[in-house]
Amino acid sequence: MRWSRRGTSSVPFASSNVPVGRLPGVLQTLSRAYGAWLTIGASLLISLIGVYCIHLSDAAQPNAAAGLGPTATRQFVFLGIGVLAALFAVIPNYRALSVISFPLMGLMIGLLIFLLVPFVPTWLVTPRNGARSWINFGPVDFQPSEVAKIGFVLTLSHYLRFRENHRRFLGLVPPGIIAFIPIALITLQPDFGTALLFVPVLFAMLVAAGAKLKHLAIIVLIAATASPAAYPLLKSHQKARIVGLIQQFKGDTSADQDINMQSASAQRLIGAGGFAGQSRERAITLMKFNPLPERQNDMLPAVILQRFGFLGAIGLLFLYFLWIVGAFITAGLTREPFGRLLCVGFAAFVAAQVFVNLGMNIGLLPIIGITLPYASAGGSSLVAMWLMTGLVLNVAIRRPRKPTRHSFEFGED
Amino acid sequence: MLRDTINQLFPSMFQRRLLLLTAMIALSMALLLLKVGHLTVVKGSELKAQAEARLVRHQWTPTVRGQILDRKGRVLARDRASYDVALSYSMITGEWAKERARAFAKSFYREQWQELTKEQRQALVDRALPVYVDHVESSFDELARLGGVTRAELDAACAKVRDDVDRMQAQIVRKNRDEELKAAGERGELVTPELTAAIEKRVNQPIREMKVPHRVLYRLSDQSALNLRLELDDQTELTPLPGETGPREHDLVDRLPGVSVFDAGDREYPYETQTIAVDFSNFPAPLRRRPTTSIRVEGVASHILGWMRDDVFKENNDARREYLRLNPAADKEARLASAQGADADDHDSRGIDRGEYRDGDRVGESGAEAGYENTLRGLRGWRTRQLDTDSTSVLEARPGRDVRLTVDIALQARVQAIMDPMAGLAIVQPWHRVNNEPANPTMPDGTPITGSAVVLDVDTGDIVAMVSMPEMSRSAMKESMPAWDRDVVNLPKVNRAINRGYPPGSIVKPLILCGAVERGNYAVDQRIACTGHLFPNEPNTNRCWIYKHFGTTHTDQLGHDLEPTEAIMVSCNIFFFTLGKRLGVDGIVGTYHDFGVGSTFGLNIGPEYAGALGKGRGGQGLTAGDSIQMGIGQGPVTWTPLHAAQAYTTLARYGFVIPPRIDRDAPKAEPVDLGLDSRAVSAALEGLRRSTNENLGTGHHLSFNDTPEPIFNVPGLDVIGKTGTAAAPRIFAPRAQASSPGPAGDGTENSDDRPADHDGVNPSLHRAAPDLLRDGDHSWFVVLVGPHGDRPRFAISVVMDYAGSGGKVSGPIVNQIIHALVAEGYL
Repeated sequence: MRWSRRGTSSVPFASSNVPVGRLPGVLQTLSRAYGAWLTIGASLLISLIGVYCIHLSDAAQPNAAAGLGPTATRQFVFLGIGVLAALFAVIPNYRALSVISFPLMGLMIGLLIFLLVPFVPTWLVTPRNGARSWINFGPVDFQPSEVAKIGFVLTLSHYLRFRENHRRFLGLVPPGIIAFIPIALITLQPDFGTALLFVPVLFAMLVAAGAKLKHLAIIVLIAATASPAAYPLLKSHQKARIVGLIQQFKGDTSADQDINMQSASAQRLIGAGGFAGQSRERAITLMKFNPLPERQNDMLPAVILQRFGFLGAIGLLFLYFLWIVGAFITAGLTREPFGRLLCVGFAAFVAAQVFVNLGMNIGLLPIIGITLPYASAGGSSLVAMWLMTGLVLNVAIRRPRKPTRHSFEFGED
Repeated sequence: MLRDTINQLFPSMFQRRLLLLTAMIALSMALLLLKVGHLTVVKGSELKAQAEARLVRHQWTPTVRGQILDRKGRVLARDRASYDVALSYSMITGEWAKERARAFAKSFYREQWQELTKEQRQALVDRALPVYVDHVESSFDELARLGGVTRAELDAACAKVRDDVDRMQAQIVRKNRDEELKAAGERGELVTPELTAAIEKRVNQPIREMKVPHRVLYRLSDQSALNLRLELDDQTELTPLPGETGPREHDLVDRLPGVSVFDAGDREYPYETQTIAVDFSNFPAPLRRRPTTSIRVEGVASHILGWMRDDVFKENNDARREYLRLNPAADKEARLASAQGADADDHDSRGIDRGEYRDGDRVGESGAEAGYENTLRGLRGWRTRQLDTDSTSVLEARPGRDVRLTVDIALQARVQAIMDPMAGLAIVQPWHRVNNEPANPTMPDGTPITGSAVVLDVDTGDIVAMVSMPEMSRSAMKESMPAWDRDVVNLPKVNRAINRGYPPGSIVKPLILCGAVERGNYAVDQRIACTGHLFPNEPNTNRCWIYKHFGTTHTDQLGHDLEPTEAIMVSCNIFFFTLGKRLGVDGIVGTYHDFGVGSTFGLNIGPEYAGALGKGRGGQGLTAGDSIQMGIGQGPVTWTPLHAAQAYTTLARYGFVIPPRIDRDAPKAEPVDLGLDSRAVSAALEGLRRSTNENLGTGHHLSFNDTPEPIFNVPGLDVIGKTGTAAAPRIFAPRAQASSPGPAGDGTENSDDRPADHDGVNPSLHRAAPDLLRDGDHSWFVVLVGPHGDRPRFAISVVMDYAGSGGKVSGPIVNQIIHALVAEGYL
C-alpha cells in the first residue's frame, strides 16, 4: 500500500517497518485524490443548504420581504468570512500550531473564564436564554466555546503526538484533564450540550492515537453504570427534558404542548416532509403555522428535512459522511502524528454534533443547544467549522515529503 | 480469524482505528436515518395531517331557535339576536400583564431562573412588564372601539366587576374566618398570632369568580360580534426586552387576550303581557255596574309556551342523541362529517352533531319550549378559515323550525283576563254562597280562586285556548321559582288543564247515560224514580242532593219519575247512582275509558295527567259501591279539564273521538267511532240543553236577592252544558302532613273518603284545622256552544279549585269565555 500520490500501487514503503497490505479498490482510488477535497466540497454544499433553509425559514416569518431573508443574508456573509478564514488557516504550516497550541489553549481558557466573571458589563457579555456564552464585538458576536473546540483538538493532538503512555490505563488521565477544563468551564456558562460534545471527541482521538480499546471500554462501562447516579445532579429543566423524552418514546403526547412542545413541533414538520419533501411554498406555509422555536439555529434540520424529506436526510448525512471520510483519508495519508489527530478530532466534532443535533430534532435525544455544523445560523459556529475545514486542507497539502516513521502504529489494539 | 483477516487487510493500526471510527459513525448515522425514516415514511402522512390541521381555523357560528306561532300566525316566542363580551378576570384586574411578563422572563432566562433569588426574578419580570401593560391598554382601546363604547365606559364596567368580586370575596373570607375562629374556639384552642396567621392563610383564597370571565359589554349586534370574533383569531408578537436578544426574545400573544364572545340572545315573548279591556255589562248583577276596566294580564300562555333556561345538563345531550338515533333524517342533517378539530363531545364516525348542547346554550325547560325542543332547536354553522390562503368557507347555520300552535293568543289573553281575580269572577264572592253559608271555610270572601279553562274546537280537536291560573310572567317566575315548590295551594308550575287530576263530579252524567245505553244496562225510554236515597234502608248514604238540602226528591218535584233528559237537567243523583250500579265496575270503567280517562293526549307541552280509575288507570281495586259513586263522577275517579272538554266534543260528534291537538302541523288523526247509541247521545245533548235552558236546570240561572238571572246571556247562540260540584280532597300545610299533596294528579286526590252525595254544596262544613289549607268542592262547568240551531262548535270546560257551586262560580266564567269567542270572531 502506498500513501503517496506519486507512487504506483503495490509498492510498499521502503522505510516502513510495519507490514502493509492492499486497500480495497474503491478506497485506493479515493486515496489518490486529496481526501480534503471531499471535506471542502461537503463543507460548501452543507453551508449552502444551510443558507437556503435559513432563507426558507426567513420567508416564513411574519411580514417577510421578498429576496434573501435577513438571517440568510447574514449567514451568507459569514459563509464568506468562514471561507476566507479557512484559506487563511491554510497559509501557515499547521505544525506551527502545534507549537502554540498550549498558549492558544490558555487564551481559550481565559476567554471562557472571562465569560463567567460576574461583573462583566452586559453590553459585552449579554446572556442569551440565560446562558453567558457570547462576547459582543460590535456587530459580530463571538462564542468562545466554538473556538475552544479547535483549541481543544490542537492541544490534545499536541499532547498525544509522540506519546505512548496513553496506552496505559493511568496514562489516560492527562488527556482527561485536558478535556475536563473546557468541559467544566462551558458547563458553568451553562451550555451543557456543547460541553458534552468534548467527550466523544476525546474518545475518538484516543482511539485514533492507539489507546487500548479495553481501557476505553472499561471507562465507558463505568460511566454508563454511574450515569443514573448523576441524574439527581441535573438541573430541573434538564430532568424535565429527559422525562419528556421518555414520554415521547412511550407515545405519551400529554406533554406535547408543554415540555415536549419544541420536539413535537420539529417531529411534526419533519414527518410532513415525507419521503421526498415538500414544495418550497408548502414548506414555508407549514412553517408559518407550525411555530418552531429556534428553527434557524438548533432546529434547522427540521426545516431541511421538511423541505427535502427522507431523501434529503440521506443526502445530508451522506455529505457529512463524505466530510468525515475526507478528513480520515487526509489523516491516513499523512504520517505526521499531530496532523493525523487534528483531522480525527475535527471529524469527531462534526460527527458528534451531527448526531446530537439530528438526534434531538427527530426525538432520539433530549433537546440541548447544539447547532448543525455548517448549516445552522450562527457566525462563530460557521467560522469555527470552516477553520476546521481549512486546517484539514492544511494537513492534506503538507504531508511530509520524505517517508517518516508511521505514528500511532502499535503492536496490538 | 476475522481479526487476522482485518489485520492482514489493514496492516496499519492507525488505519484500522480509523476504520473502526468510520464504522461507528456510519452506524450512528444509520440509526439516525432509521428514525428519520420512521418519522417521514411510516408516520409521515399522520404528522403531515397534524401540521396541515394548523393551517385551518374552525369556528362555530350561532344559529337561531325556531319561533312559536299561534293559530293566526302571531309570533308568541322568538329569538332576539344579541351578544355579550366577556373578559377574563386577569385582564379585568390587569393581572394578565404580570402573569405573562413572569412567564416570559422565566422562559427567556430559563437556565438561570432556578438560581435567581425572588428579588432578582421580580426585577427581570418588572423589566418585561411595560410591554405587556401597553398591550393590555391597546387591547382595551380596541375592544371599546369594536364594542361601540367609550374607553371610559369599558373601564367603568371592569371596575364594577372588580368591585363586585372584591366585595364577594371579602364576604366569603369574613364568613370563613368567623367559622374557623368559632370552630377553633369550640376545640378549645387559644387564639394565638400563629393560629390567626394560619387561618388568614386558609381563608384568603381566590374565589371562583376570580377564575371565570365576566361580561363587560352587553347586547352587541350581530355584525359587531362577528367583527370581534374575527379579531379573536389574531395574534401579535411582542418584544418585551428590546435590548436583549435570544431565540425566545419574542412573545406571541393574542391580539385581544382573554376576550370571549357569548351568544346572549334572548327569547322574546311578544304577547306575554297584554292589556285587556273588560266590559262588565254582561257580568252577573253584582259586578255589572262596574265601568269597563283594563286588566293587565301577565304570562299569557306561559304554561303552554313554557320557558327557557341557560344551564345545559348532560340529560339534554342524552335526549338529543336519542332523538337523533331515532330520526335518521334529522341525524343526517345535523351531522357535520368533515369537522376536524372541533371540540365537541358527540364526535363519532358520522361527524359532529351541529345541534349539540354546549355551555351557554339555552334549553327549553317547560311547555312547548321543552316539548318541541328538537323542532325549535337550530343547527350551528361551521366556518372554516384557511389561514394560508385566507379563504373562508362557511356551512351556514340552519335556523330552528317554527312551531305553529292551535291556540289563539288573543282569545287566550281574554280568557286569562276573565279568570283574573281583578275581573271579580275568580275571587270568592258573597253571592257564591249557597243557603247563605260560605262555600268553603278555608277561603274567605276575596280569596283569589285558582282554576283552569279549556276551549276545544269540536270539528278539529284544536285547543283554541287553555288557561291555567295562576299564569305568571317569566320575570315573576324567576323571582319566585324557589317558593313555587312549597306553594301547594296555587301550584304555579302546574298546568292544571292537562296535569292536575280533578274528581269530575256531575259533569259526567250525560256520559254515564251514553255508556249505560251502549252497554245495554239502560234503555233510553225507561224512567227512574228519584227516591232521595238509593238504598231504602240507608237514608244517610248515596243521597240525592235535593233530598239532602231540601228533604224532597226530584220525582216529587217533577211529579213523575225521571226520564234521562230530566235527570241530566236536574242533575239527579239517584238516577245516575242507579245507572252506575247497573253498569257495575266493568261497565263504569269501560265508559270512563271510552271518554278518555286513563290516557294522555301527547300534546308535548309538558307532563300530562292521564286520569285515575281506582288505584291506577285501569279500575284496579274497584268495588260495586265505587261504581255507584262513579255514576255521578265521584269516588275513585279523576280527570283533567282537557279530558272533560274532550269528552264533551266526543258527545257533540255523536261518539266520534278526535284527539285534541295543540300542534297545528301534527297530522290529523282519523276519528274513532265509539259506537254510541245515537238516541242516547241525543238524550244526553237534550239533557244538557235543558240543564242550561230550562228553569229547573242546574246550569240555568243565578239568583241575586231572589232575583234570578240566566247564566248565559250571549244572544244567537245555543249553549248546552252541565254543572258539577265535585267533592275535593283537602290540602294540608306540608309540615303538618307527612305526605303532602304531591304533584297534581298523583292519584292522592281520590283518597278523600267523605261521602260524596251532593250536588250543590258540601253541607258538612268542616271546621278549619290550623293546618288545613283547602277543603270543599271543585266547581265545574262544561258546555258545548254553537250558533243557534246549528251543531256545537266549541267545547268549553272550566274548573275552579275549591270554589263550591259549579253554576255560581264557573258558570259566569264560561259565559264570559263565550263572549270572548264572539269577540274574537269564532261564534
